[in-house]
Amino acid sequence: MLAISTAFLILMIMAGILEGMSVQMLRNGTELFQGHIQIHHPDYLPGRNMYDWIGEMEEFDLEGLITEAASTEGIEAAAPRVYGFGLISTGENTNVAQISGMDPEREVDVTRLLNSSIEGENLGPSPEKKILVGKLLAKLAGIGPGDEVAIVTQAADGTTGNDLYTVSGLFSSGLTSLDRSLAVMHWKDLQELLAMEDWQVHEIALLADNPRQANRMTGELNQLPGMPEEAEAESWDELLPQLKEYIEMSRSSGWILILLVGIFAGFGTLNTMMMAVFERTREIGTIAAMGMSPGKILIMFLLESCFLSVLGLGIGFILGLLSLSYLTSNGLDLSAWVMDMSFAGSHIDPVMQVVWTWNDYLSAALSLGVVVIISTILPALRAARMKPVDALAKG
Amino acid sequence: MKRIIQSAGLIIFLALVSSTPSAAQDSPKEIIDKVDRMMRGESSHGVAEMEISTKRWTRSKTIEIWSEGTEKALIRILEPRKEEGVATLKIGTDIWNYLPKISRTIRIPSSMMMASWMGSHFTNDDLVKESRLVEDYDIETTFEGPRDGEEIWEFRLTPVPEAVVVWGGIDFVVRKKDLMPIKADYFDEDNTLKRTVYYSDYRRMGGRLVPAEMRLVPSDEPDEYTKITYTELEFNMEHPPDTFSLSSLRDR
Repeated sequence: MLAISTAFLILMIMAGILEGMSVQMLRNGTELFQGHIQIHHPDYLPGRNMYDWIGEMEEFDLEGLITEAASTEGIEAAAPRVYGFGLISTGENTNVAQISGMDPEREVDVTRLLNSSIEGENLGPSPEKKILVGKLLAKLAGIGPGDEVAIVTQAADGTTGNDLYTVSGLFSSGLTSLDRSLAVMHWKDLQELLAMEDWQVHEIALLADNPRQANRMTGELNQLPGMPEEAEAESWDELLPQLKEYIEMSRSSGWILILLVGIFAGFGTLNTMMMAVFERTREIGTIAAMGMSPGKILIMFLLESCFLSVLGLGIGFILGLLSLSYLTSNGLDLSAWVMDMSFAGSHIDPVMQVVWTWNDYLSAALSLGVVVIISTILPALRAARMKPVDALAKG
Repeated sequence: MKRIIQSAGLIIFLALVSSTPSAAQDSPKEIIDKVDRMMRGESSHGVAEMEISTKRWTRSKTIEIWSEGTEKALIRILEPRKEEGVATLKIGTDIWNYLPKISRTIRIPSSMMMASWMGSHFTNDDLVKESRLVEDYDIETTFEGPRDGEEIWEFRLTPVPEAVVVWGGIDFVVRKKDLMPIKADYFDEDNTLKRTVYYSDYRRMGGRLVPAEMRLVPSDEPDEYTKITYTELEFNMEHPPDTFSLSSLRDR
């Protein structure tokens, strides 16, 4: 019985950790820079042609759309983005850079980039011709907070867009692809540099309340009245298929592990029951001799195992509940053993998140219960089939 | 030494050409060299209209060009107002852009060589190329005869192994009667056609016959083009000593 409770407890915790890992991976892969959902011009990706802004040729109410999207049920926040690329130069030292125009006030509600480890000062809420540069890019370009740089690019009207900017700070996101090639400025500044209109943006990034439900939200977003023709919302699993696959793969291997634990639990129980039957051989022989039918003996043993399972599961359940409520709020802190890592575009947090749902709980309980009952059938049958004479003799 | 010989050859050749209407029998190499250096001479100064046509817009810029051999070139935008004073200076293999609006000169790194120059279909590399075609390419005559009513030669240029060039091959079509180029096809290393330059509007400018119009058409977007039309052009003058310098960029 102890075996059953322990097995259940372990299963519960493992499942919780596994689910937690999946959600963690999902969050890490999306909440730094991408967001859970993005709205673009249908042709914008993957080419990222500057002219494929949302709405294309027809001006539309951008602010209205952002407000509408952010107030949709299930969406927490929305932020506009403008993208370009150009040369960042101090004169002699010129480097190519990707330039992102963001709204500092709205962006922090959607992603963590503008909060990630900033050396110097962050961007202010208004366009002040300031830029945040990735730490590695800054190193390449030989610039630091307070320095002035020229940025040159091809503007949307065919002229050479150029202007001077002050580096307000350096960011360190942990993702080399960003730290080495990205500079961020206020989106109004970038629209000006690129000779783009106020309503022209390349992307709107959104944060969902529950990232796992993100792909159910896109349908609703696409129906919003303020959504122009040339725009569509896509969720992270459509935008980052690699991340999705990675998470699926981890989950599957995790569940296989859990399955194995379940099987061992089953064997454990089988063993215990077999031993029990063996030890009670005399007892079985006695009651059989006294007239109990094999059928009744079978039922007796099965009932016993049911009772034990339920008790075991019950105890395991309570212990599991306690451990999981602690773990879901505090996480499993592995930071003592693990250092900062980055994998497949997601930054891995050494504190493991644990997530559980009633669904997981019940299915685990059910499967374990079934495993236990099945593994007692064999010993129960054995008990039922024993000939009283042999049993008494052996006992 | 090589240059002296080639210059001598060129002088003799030119003398022959100017006295007899029909072209003398000179080697493909000499013909290509003449085509290559035709717009530059030893030094030049000109004004041209550059029209850039893309899917989204068509713009015209007026540019002024100074050059000294193949070493130095200065190009300045005169119009439109928004870009007036924007300049590109090339010295050897280095390029700088001057941006008057912010009073800054920025050096263009070699990683940007294949990037568009000033939004046109020409690249920074086109400006920089110090190479002389005859030095970096093997030249072979692939066709000789009439085409579209003109007697022409077609030459195939293949880079020599040691050459550091961006093209895998160039095809030139040159008019026999006056050695004027008609068109040039540029191929990459996989022999895919990347762009074509069409020459036209042949007239005498600065004392020599030149194609006043050059139109570059990118192969992946054949509806787009960049057209350069010279309105003024003169050769072989003395440029003041500080013409090609960063400091003079700012002072102009």
